[in-house]
Amino acid sequence: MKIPDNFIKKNRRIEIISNDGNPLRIPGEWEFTLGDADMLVAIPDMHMYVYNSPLDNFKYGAKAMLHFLHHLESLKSDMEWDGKKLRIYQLGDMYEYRFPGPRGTGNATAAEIFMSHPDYSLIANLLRDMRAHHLYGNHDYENRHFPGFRMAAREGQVLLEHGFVPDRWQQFSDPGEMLWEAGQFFFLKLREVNEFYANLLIDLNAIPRDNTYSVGVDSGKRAKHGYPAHAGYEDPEGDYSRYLEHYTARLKQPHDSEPFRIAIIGHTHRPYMEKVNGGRQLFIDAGAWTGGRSDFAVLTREEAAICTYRRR
Amino acid sequence: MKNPQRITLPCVLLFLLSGCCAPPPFPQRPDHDTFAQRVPIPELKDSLRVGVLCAGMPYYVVREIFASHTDDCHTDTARQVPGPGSRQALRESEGWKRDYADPNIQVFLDTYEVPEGRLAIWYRKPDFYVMDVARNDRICIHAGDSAYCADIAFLASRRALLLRQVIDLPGNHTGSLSAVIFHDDHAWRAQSWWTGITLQGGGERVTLTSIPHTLYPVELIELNGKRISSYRWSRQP
Repeated sequence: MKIPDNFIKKNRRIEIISNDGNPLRIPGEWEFTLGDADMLVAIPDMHMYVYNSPLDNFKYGAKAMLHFLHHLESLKSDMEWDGKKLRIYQLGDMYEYRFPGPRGTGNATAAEIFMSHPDYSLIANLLRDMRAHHLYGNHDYENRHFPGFRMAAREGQVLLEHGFVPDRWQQFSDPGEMLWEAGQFFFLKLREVNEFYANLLIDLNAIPRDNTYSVGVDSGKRAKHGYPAHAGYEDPEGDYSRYLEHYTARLKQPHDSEPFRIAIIGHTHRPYMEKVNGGRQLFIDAGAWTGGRSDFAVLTREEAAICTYRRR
Repeated sequence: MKNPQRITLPCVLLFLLSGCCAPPPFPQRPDHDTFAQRVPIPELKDSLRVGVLCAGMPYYVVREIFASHTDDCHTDTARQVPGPGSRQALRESEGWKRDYADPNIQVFLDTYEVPEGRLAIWYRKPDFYVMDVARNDRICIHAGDSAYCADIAFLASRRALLLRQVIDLPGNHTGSLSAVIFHDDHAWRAQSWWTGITLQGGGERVTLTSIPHTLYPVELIELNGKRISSYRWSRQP
């Protein structure tokens, strides 16, 4: 099955950004399988946080996400009528738990985040109600305690993972590492102190409230729809080549069942697609739906693409 | 006065204390027309008109009624709890100063100080399973000024019901509707109220669309620990 026309061409807000704007054809000799799904949509990092906070860099893309999910809902229903299955994955970091919660101390929880705005709870509910599969990332790592959240998934010959393991800042970004706990505590306290003084200065009218600015966090107000330059991925010394190396090696590892053909990750916020291991396998970084980006990956047995969803 | 400072400090303290723990502010009145458009169920519309909060009303009504209670003394921060009637916060802790709670469990408790005492309101994300909808229950869909009813044949899923009779709505009702389900022989729930209902399959299938938390129905109300069927917030007759 190819990517259906009513998915991309009939929705002018969807634009393919990988492979010069065309779906990448998956070679027939791969005899590629996608489990029991006919089409797979992977939604990368969202980092939903408390809506009114300047630290929330999802809100400017929230309406586009709602529009996209309604589009997926009708597509899923159409495909079901045709006896076909659309499976949706959220690749982790759906919620941002690493910032302080609205109680003023400790981190934010999922309920505090999705109840901070009706659009957020509708997005969470639409994903749940469409039976989206959820992975967890390093920014919502606590979700691993709950049914329905997984570290990694396999769909036929596709490996899906959030992708935090090869991070350059592994000691702080990989929850399995020694400095994770201390690092999280330090960053949370730093944000709490920052929030306290910022709010104090705002209350004293010393500075105006600016919901589009927070230290070290891109607000996402400005839309970023392009395919970024890949110096980081293609340069062996670059930050992103580590991901390519790691997942190229993962794809090569022998497996009891069908060998993996494709790895899909998020985490980096940098969409990228590249054939690896002599063109026999494919690496896809689905990008991000936060900080101005609104990317997702789509995959069928015949085609693959990274797309962006325009805000209007 | 010889030393005005002697009286200034106690006055300031008194002022601060009175400001912090003043009697609860008077509730607000939600907009009736907006409510009637969103939830065209006559009994709920009538309740809102006379200033009575009751089970079945969407959560946004609670937020609007008690909008002015959101200061330090009268917090209305919703608390995630295991089930309706429970006051135990659904919260675990991990690592150094980190909390988390299961995002799959969506039952919430709001508490407010009101002139009569302490008011507790539970609401939840509804679906046909968690609300105990079953075969032989009766669903009445409200469209315009009329209700169109049918018996439930079975639950196809937590978001879909099949009906014994076809519901034929007049006009073109393709959007989201409101409904009341009358429960047959249920231990404690006589009826439940629904928004986000759509009619499909030529009127034979009812599905529940995704709704935001502001439309979750109020399920249970308690005043000073006693269950009540409704709470009159309006002092006007």
